[in-house]
Amino acid sequence: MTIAQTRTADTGRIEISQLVKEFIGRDGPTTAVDHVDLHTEPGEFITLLGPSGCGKTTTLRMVAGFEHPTSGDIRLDGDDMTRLTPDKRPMSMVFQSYALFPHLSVRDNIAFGLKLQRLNAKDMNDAIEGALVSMDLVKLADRAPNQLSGGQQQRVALARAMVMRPKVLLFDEPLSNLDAKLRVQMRTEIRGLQQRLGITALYVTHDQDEAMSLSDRIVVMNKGRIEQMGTPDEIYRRPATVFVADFIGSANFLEPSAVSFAGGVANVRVLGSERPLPYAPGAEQAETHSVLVRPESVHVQRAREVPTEGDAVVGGRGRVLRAVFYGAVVEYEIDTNAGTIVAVVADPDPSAILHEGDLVEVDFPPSRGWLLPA
Amino acid sequence: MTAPATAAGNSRPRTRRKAVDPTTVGVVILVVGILALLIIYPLSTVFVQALGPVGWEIVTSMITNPVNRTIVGNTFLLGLLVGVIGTALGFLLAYVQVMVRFKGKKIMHLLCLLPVVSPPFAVATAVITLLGRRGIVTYGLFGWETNIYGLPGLVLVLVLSFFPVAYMNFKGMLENLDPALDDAAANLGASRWRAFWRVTLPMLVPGFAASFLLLFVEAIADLANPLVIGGDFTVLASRAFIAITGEYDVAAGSAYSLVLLMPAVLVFLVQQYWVARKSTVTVTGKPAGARRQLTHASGRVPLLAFAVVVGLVVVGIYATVLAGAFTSILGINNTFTLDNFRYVLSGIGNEAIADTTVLALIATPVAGLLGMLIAWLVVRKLKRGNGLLDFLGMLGLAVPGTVIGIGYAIAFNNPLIIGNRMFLPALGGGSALFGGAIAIVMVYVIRSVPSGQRSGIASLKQIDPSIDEAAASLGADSVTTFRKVTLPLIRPAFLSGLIYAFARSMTTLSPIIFITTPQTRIMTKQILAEVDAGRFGNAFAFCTLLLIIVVAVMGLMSLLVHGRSDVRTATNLGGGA
Repeated sequence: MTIAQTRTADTGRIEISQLVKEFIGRDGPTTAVDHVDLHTEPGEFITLLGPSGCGKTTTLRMVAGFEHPTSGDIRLDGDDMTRLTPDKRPMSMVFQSYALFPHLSVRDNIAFGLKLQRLNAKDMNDAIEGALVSMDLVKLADRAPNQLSGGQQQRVALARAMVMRPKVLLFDEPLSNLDAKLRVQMRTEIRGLQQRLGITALYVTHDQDEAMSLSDRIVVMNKGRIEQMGTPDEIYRRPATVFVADFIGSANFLEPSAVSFAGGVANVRVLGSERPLPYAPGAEQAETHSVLVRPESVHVQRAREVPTEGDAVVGGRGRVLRAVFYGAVVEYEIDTNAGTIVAVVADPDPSAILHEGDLVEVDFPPSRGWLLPA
Repeated sequence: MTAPATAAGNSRPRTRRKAVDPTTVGVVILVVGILALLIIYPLSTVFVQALGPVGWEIVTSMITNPVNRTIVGNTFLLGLLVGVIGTALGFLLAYVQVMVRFKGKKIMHLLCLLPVVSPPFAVATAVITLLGRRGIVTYGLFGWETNIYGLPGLVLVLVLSFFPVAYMNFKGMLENLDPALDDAAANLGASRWRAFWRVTLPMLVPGFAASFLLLFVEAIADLANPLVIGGDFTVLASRAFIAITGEYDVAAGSAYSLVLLMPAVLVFLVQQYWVARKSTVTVTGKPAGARRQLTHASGRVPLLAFAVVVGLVVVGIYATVLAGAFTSILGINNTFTLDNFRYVLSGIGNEAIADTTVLALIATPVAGLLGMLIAWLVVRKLKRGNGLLDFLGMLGLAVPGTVIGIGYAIAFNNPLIIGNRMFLPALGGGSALFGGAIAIVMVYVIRSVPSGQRSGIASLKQIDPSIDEAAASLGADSVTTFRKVTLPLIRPAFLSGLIYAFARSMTTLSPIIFITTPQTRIMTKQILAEVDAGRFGNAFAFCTLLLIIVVAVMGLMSLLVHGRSDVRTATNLGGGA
């Protein structure tokens, strides 16, 4: 399996600095990418994640050479790429629409780039056969693209890009046209292949599951700027901004009634008691705050005693507004004095399932809370 | 937000950063250079002449001089009448074809397309034979001594020649109309008649505008028919022709050309860039469901009767051409003879057939390739200036043939000498290289480029741009991408463009008439000479041969297309998702 050889050289270091892209629209220029800085390590899998229009695709297309930056630099292993046309850049792209050449067979699609490199016949055949084998396409080699299923087309697109042995693989939402099950399967294949080959990957998606499961690091973008860059764990548990916290997974934002900082810990009064919480950089300077608690971190319990002040929701108490049974989990919407909280209880005990109107006690461990500047 | 905006603003002048693909730049320069030679330079010579002191006086006399005022009025009247009647005829026939149930749709469709491939005089000459002073129908059947020459005959002939343009236009639109719209209207309680008026017709408004404008331009640009059947009814095209060939007055010819050129190009621009954009029908995508065809007699009978009449007229015309080719003098001496063909196939006629076919065959691939290159640049490569390039390519269609011909006569019939150096030898006219054949090929090319360009643009827009990007990402530069990816994908459009280009080259007259030479004979010009001399039999024989050649070559080309694509579809059969 020639394609599975690992890159020996320490190549594939992308350095993007102060990258700007303006589009001249009807109502003047709009800034699609706004002073983006991004450095990758060789062999790293980096995902650009964000809502549509956040500039992630434009950034990728500038790295590929399909868009010209308004200003800024793109370097690869120290070489300036900014002025090179796409065909001169040692990168291969996998497209959302797969972009297979409809007039060429699977084999000829994979051979397309190699033929342009004028490889000798044996090397070329070895490389193509290797790619066909590793992507499980041997039986389909002589078919036309329109005779393949979406998943098969995606594998051809992947094989066609991989066989070029690029320094960088670029992915533009490659899985968004596949159904959910296939998407998960292709995710594993892409990650496996990328790790085997050790090629740096830059991957654009708006699907957070994809980003979380594939990436060494995730770059969350919003309105042309980078909101946060970090490992999936950092992005999920320690988001830098409310935007990131909200965009990744589902999030409860609780309103604290008092906040003070001492010794690297924030003392936050929320849900009826004071808790020592970790906090985001910038929280100390902020005037208003939010406490992030993920739904799976919320503990819900039937209230043991009837509150003294009638039905009033006080302290750590709340009332169930809605209960939805999903099978594996139950989701509750609970009205509290810190706002409406969503709680997800996994593997629910049938006898303990709560119903609308039930009075509950709500709590979360301090290590699962995260104080953010609001 | 202001800070980054200004920072970016400061850096924008650093255009050197742009990653410009040198091959694209090379192709752009090449294409623009060719277009400059083929159309911009000859057109500019017309402008220079018309805007010179002598020419400009004639231009202004279009308003002051009553004779010229009449000519301008005639031209517009002709355009208006042909536009309105031709559009109505085309619409009705398309409506019958798409919406009414009847047998023989294929034959009706072919009859509606026949005038596209026929030489310019076939219709006019046949109409004179049938409806003229000694016409077979008018005099022979009814004993009338009608005068077909002039406006009525001209309108009849032009409508019959150009209605296929409107027919094709409407047929495409009606077929693309989503039948679900009719169903929805019916579901909401609208009668069929009401649905037609309130739903179908409003959606076709851009189509009516487009057809009218196209026919208007075709009508005012036409030269052949005004010469043959126009009589005393002078229009700008025929006036310019007389100025050049009869009066040897280049300035006057240019002046009339300019006046003809302005409305033609203006109307063309409106049609291409405004009406086409307004079209609501073409973007609805694939129609869903089956079309309910009109079966009720109240609508069906009058519509079908009308279609049959038109069909019979077309059949009558071409039957006349055919019959005329095989008789001594059709309508007067109806004995069967092969003399006409004998005359046409010997000497001059034979040469003309060979020359015309060879030159058209040379021009066709050149025009096809140039059209595809322009389409590719416009759709894929140019971010700015693509509208201008598109327009330059379409000039061969927008500019009336008469104007192109006069431009070529001025520009290329003498060598281009600046200072003491010859930059370009004479390409057209008697003293030119290859007997003026180069200029004729050039005219064929520029007249044929637009059809390839249009079909190329349409088919390129269907192709996902990321397919080009994929090729680039795999290391293909733009020329390689064009050769290995784009061209194979747009091959069907390319070949249909070629077919059309060939037919157009073979049947074009108005620009050719100004640059033919004794050495290089062109069939359309020979036909005109025969018609002028009153030898209709020879003209009919020429027309028949021309038709046969065009249909044969078109058939051969489409066999080539289908033959090849059959192989591909065969490999595509079976399996698939």
